[in-house]
Amino acid sequence: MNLEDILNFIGQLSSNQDILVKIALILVLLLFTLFTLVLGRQISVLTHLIHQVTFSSVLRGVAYILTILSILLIIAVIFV
Amino acid sequence: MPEDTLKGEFVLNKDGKAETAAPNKPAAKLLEHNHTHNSAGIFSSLCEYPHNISFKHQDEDEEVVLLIRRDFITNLPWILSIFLLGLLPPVLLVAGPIFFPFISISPALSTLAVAFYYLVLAGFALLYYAIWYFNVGLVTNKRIVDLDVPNILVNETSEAALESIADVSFTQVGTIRSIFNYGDVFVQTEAIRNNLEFDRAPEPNLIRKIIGDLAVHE
Repeated sequence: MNLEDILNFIGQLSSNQDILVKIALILVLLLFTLFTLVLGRQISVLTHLIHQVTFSSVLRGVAYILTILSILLIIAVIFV
Repeated sequence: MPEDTLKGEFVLNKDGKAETAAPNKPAAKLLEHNHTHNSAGIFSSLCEYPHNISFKHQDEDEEVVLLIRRDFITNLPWILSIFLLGLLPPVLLVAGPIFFPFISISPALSTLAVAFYYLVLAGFALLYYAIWYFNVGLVTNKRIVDLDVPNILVNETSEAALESIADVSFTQVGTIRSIFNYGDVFVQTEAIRNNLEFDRAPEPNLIRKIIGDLAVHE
C-alpha cells in the first residue's frame, strides 16, 4: 500500500458522510459508555451511604440499563 | 423555722429532700415511639420519621426523625432544559433538509443518532436527579448527618451530635423562596468548624423548630 492508495482511501472516506458520522458516533458513544459506567458505580457507592428500601436497587438498575443501552447502540452503529 | 417560709424554685418536701421544678419537655412528642411513620418517596424533600430510610453506620437504637433534601422546585431548571432539548430532534428532522441540504446520511444512521441523543439526555437527567437525591440531611434521635454531593464524583459527610448543637437558624431570602417556602437552615455546633447547613430546604422554620426541640430535649 503506497501513499497514493492511502490518500485515495482517506479521500473516499471523507466524501462518504455515512462513514464520517459512524466514526464520530462510535467515538462519542465510547465516551458516553464510560460516563454511564462511572455514574453507575458512583450511584452504587452512594446508595450504600443512604439507603432507601426498594428504590436504591431501582436507581442502580436504571444506571446499569443506561450502560447496557449505550453498548448495544455501539454494536448497532458498527453493524449498520 | 416554719416550713411555709421556704419558697422558690427548690422546695423541701416532708423528708427534707429538694425537689426541682418539672422541666419543660417541648420535644417529648417527637421522641415518643407511637408517632406516625411515613414513607419517603422518590421525590420527597422533607419527611418526618421515614421508615424506609437508613444510612451507613446507623446504630441499632437510632431512628431517623427527619429527612431533608433541597426543595424539589430547585430541579425545575434542568427539568425544563432537558424537556426543551428533547423537542430538538423533531424540529431538526423538519428543518434540517431545508437549511442543510448538503447533509445526507442514511435513515438508519440518523435514527441511531437520534436514539443516542435521547440516551444522552436520559443520562444527564439521571445525573442531575442523583445529585439532588443524594444531597441529603438526616436528623436522628442522636445526631445530625449531612451528606453533600457537589458533583457525582465527590461526596462529603458531616455529622454532629444533638448535644453539641448550640444554635439553629434559617434564612429565606427572595421572592421565589418565599413563594415556595424554602430556605437555608444553619446548625451551629460547639465545634469550631463543624457547622452544618441544609441549603434550599423546604419549610425551614419547621426544620429549625424540630432540630431546636431535639437539641433542647437532649
